[in-house]
Amino acid sequence: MNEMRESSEKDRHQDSTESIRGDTVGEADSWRSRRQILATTAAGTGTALAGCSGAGGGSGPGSLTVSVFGGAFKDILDETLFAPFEEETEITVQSEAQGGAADVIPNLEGAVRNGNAPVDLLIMTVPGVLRGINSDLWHRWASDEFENTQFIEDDLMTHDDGDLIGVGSMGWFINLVHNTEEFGGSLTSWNSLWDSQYEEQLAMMSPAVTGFLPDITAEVRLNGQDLLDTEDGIREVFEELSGIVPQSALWYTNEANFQSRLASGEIPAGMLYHDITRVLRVSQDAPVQSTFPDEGSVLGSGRWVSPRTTENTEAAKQLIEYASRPETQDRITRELFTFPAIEEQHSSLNDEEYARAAGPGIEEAIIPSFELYVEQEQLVNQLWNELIVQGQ
Amino acid sequence: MSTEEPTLGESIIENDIWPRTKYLIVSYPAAVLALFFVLPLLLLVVVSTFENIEGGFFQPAFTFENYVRFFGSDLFQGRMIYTLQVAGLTTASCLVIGYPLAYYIASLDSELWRRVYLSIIISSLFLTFIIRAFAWQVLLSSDSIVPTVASSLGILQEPVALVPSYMALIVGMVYVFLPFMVLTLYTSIREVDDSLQEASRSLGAMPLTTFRNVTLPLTKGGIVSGSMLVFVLSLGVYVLPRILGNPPQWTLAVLIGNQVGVEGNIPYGATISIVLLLVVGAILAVGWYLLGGERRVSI
Repeated sequence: MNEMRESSEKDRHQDSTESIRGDTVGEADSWRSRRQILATTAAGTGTALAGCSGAGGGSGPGSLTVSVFGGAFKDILDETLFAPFEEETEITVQSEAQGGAADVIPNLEGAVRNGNAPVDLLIMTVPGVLRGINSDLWHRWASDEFENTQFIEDDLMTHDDGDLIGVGSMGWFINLVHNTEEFGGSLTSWNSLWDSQYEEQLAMMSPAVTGFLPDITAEVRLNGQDLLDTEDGIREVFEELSGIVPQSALWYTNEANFQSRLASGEIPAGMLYHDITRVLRVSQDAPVQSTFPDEGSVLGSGRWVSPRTTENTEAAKQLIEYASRPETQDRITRELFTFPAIEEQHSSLNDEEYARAAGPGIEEAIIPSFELYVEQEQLVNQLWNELIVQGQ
Repeated sequence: MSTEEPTLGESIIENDIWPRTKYLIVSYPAAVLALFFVLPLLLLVVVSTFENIEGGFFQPAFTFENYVRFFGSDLFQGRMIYTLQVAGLTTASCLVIGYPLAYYIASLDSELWRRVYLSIIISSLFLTFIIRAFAWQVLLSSDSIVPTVASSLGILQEPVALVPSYMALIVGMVYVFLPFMVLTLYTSIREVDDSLQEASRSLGAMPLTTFRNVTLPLTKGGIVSGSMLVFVLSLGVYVLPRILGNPPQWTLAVLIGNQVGVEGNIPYGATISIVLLLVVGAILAVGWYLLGGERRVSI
């Protein structure tokens, strides 16, 4: 899934430095001055350390720190979601770029355990949400907390023990992409990843929990995703997956590393988010093409979640309500080409707009086995590292 | 009975202030060492025995499972050997490139020119590893100067990207660590007594013989120190393999970073760090032994 891309209000410390007389200071004054300097330095250091620790965290009343995937994703959400929300509610939104769940969760775990809230609200992928539940990271909402979640697809709501944890934000597709000027033809099947004619030409997502290549392999090359239910099946999948290694020119964890190389043709093809590729083409006029593979794109989705340590739940709630409105969802889809989280009957998207964002639709998509990447995390990570490092 | 007043020093000793002051003076570095070096290391050891919760955070425990996993894993042992190889090649390259350069600078008669050369070398350290790594990434990309020149000279058939690759990693690492080697060697070479080299020459030795039998042995300390410094720094390199290499070029430090920052398996990251630390310690011990041998020879 569009794997999760990635106030603390900076403590403003008053400059308590008193002016120190220069040339004419006597010995006693000089000594006092040194003590003043030491005292000031100590105070400054203390303030700096407090800032580093994220003490306080989150935002103050009337403002909200929101973490979303970076690059064009964040830029478009700034325009289509946060700016109109600010206008309507007068709550200031400070949006921050984040990496994928794999990057965010370990850092967030440490912060929350220390009582800090680096952000008030973030978009998180399903494996990230599940892992956060296991680590008791998230704020728990009452199941009837929100009005506008009535519009959201039930499958995109995450509950735990009767509490609401995450509200669907949007969906996204991982597609095959290519540079139309530098790459002859186009990739139409996931089987291309195993095709030796593309040796050292393709960019692929890493880690496994970001690109879901085990799911693609099980579905396209073997007997289906049920294989991933057992350890033997997982090992069989990874054995088959090793066939893509020779075609890899780049394993990227941050799509920004691939975007520019795709646009320039340095790496002419690979796998990438459909929305990002469309944005590259539409807004930057880059010669890139996103193709929904014959076997189905990989469908991911995000959830709005809040760290349990945030004190800004009321403002976070208002933003979730706003983001869940059908008109907001449709506006985001038209600009960002992600898939709306609302049920189809509430959407005003026409067929063309829908097709631009979702191609043949979610029915044709491969839904990753999200639990695999949480429950078998160590095994999957070990096999993944062996795959990309050793080529096994 | 003497009526003389005790001196200040005698008064301090009589009042037993000095012994206490002595402990106070010693306690400061001891406290700093304990607080900033021993305690974090102990914490690392302790965390390495904790248990990682699958799909969650870690919990306190006392298990050697992480160590068993490390020594049972071809991946991590293989990366350890690979990391040692990369560090060794980087060290050897820095020595081969750095020794003639340091020798040349140290041999200059003009102090001004020596300072100019050293300033140029040191100035490369003003930029962070990250900036220098990205600079090499640009220089080695397909449409940049290095592949273009290599192509025009016939070394490459056409300008192709040389990054990410093993070669790019080694080039980047040598570039980053060369100043450390040169500066260490320079100090050592400058300390060589000119009269010894002059005596060698006056006894009929050719320049190469003088270098082999006089200069080189006398700068052995610098060679060992510089090599140890570069080798140990290379073992911990994290940014360069990430930027200039693909996963097959990742060193153990990258895998440690991934364990902590990507997989959230802090106990296993701590375990790999401890093992790497032990290896570094063993290398330092060998280095100290070699340096001790050098001193015995000198004496």
